[in-house]
Amino acid sequence: MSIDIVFKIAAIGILVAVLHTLLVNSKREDIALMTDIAGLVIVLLMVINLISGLFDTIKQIFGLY
Amino acid sequence: MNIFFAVFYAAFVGTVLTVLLRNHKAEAAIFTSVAVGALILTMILPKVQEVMQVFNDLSSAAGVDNSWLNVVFKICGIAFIGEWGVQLCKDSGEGAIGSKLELATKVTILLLCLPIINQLLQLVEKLL
Repeated sequence: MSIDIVFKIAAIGILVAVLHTLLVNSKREDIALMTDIAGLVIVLLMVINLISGLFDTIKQIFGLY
Repeated sequence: MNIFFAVFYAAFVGTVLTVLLRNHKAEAAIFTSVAVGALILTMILPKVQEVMQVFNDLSSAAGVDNSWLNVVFKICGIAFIGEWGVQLCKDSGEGAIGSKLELATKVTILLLCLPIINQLLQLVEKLL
């Protein structure tokens, strides 16, 4: 659990934005949409792991079961 | 004290990254802000646990029933998560969903309070 995951998410965001621009400029809007969705799903999976860890910790500390 | 500076750096870096991403990729900006929020809360929770331990010790020294304090802690936890979610929704421009989440948080807290209110009313009845 560290700040690395934030950098990872930001890097994926920048990468997907660049890919999106490149693909749109080469008239491949359909593939650009695919890369957008793929990046979104990858980032969503990372964030969901983080949130579930946070919720587990909160449940354990505050005695919510 | 060290943890405070760690939180400060995390918040600073997260803010810069979120602002950077917002113009190009709004979804990713939301995710970085979620990640930073979860990270900071996870960092600060052990300290919260220490504070709660002190309160637990105080209450047992005063001979107060522990179950009352546990209810207070549960309410704190729910308020913690609820407030975080509401702020998240509002930051992402979804104030309507945020208000519903706020309502759900309030109802849950009220539900946890009900046994205490019941007990208080029974006590009043006994006194009368």
